[in-house]
Amino acid sequence: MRYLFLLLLFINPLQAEKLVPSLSSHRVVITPNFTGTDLVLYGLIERDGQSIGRGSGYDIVIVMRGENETITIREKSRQFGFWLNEGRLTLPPVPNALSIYANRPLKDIADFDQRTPHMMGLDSLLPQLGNDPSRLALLRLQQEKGLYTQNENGVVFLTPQWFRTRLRLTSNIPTGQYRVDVYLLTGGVMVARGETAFEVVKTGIEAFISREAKQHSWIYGLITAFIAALSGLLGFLIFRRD
Amino acid sequence: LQLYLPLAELSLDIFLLLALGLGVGFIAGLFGVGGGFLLTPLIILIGVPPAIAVGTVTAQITASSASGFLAYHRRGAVDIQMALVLLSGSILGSLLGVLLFRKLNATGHLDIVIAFGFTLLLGFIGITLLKESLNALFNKNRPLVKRAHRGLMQGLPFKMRFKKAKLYISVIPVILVGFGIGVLGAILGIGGGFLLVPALIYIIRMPTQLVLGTTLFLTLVSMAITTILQAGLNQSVDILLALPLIFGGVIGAQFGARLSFIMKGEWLRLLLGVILLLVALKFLSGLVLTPADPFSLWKGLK
Repeated sequence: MRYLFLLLLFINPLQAEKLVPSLSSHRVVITPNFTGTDLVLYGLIERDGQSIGRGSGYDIVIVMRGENETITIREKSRQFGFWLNEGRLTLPPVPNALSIYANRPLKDIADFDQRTPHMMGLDSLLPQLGNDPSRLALLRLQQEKGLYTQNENGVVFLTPQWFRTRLRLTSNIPTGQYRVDVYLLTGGVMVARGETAFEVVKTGIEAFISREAKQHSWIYGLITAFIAALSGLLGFLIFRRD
Repeated sequence: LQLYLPLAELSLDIFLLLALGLGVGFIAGLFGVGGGFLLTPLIILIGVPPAIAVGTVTAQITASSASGFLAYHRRGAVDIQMALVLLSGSILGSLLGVLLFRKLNATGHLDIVIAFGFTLLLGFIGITLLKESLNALFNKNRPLVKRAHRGLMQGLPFKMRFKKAKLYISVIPVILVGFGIGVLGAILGIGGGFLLVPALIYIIRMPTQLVLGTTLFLTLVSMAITTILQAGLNQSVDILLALPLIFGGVIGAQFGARLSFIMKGEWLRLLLGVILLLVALKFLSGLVLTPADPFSLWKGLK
């Protein structure tokens, strides 16, 4: 992607803008009372003499995505009067979280064909599946969980060359690495891009528990059973009536 | 106050969890049952994934049966020998149940099997309790329970003498009863006390005063083993979810047990029957009503 941008620069000497994004934090820590958080992204559009005098204004599209994962969609159907999971389809890998922010409706910013290669818009996810029910279900279910979002007035221009976005991270945000791509468009064409990243990590007791539960699952189980039995013993000792 | 549950991967209000533990513990103490059959469906209803709910409740039942067992043990009302024979069946049952659980979870049928299991089990027990208590309340002349004929059980081989229970019977039905409880416990996340108590009374014909203590001992050991198996094989036991449930449950059970000395047995059974039927109906409606969204999303499956 970075090379593509350099290539474009080389081909079109008019593309002289540069994007400088800055994220308020590069590490989000999930604590026991984590209920979601916001990251603030500021961006500066640097221009030189060549870019002055563009006909149309600037548009910004921001694509925030988590790690890819494999998802299976199951469909319930009625069998003998009961609703059972029968149909299933495993989709190609998709991001476990995907948020799109723009300063105005995406369809006004650029054509679908211009946006799709850069995932500018939820409609750019798995376009090869078209209106397949499993693709629609993925988009619908992930949006219901708040993991896929699209906010078409989430980018605010503070000055013509300075913008701000609030990246909303919900309480169920998956842990892992996140990539944030910032695209500058004008007249329906991408003219510059910038990239930044952050990570979401569990910490303290949560990180310890989920790591132990997965890596040393048998010892974890043994200790859990022991703690449970011990709590019962304590309850008995505290409440017994002699 | 939100508590982030590392394995369930969501945040829940810690006071809601304490209240649920307290409420279920109260009912459990009131009726002398474990309460897993109520706790598992309730925490599924508040958003915990069914697999994590089932796995975690086994830890909660371990705790509540431990304190119950100790109380009976002090009065000498536990037949350890009978419990150990039951246990040999129930360990095999738990192992099979946990493996089955794993298989069903991978094929996407676990939620439906859990819903079916609860509908049938709770519906059946609920109706039985309701009928029995209504009969006792409004039809006082009728004899209580007809004793089943003895012949069938006497013919079986591998007899064993149970000194404490004063029984000389075949171990086959005892092991089979244990096995069934083990399978159900692992798949549905229930201790199975409300099944084991009638089974010990009507099938094994154990003296009634030994039944509850023996049941609690079996529940303690088999649920402790199931907890280890669920954590080891399925990574489905969330200790941060278990702790508030245990804490609330242990306290609630004390109050429930105290109230049970005051309330009349028939009314208690009537009430329990109604509660069981309501939970069964809730599960049944999930199976037969048209779902809001027939599609669901499953992670990490090929």
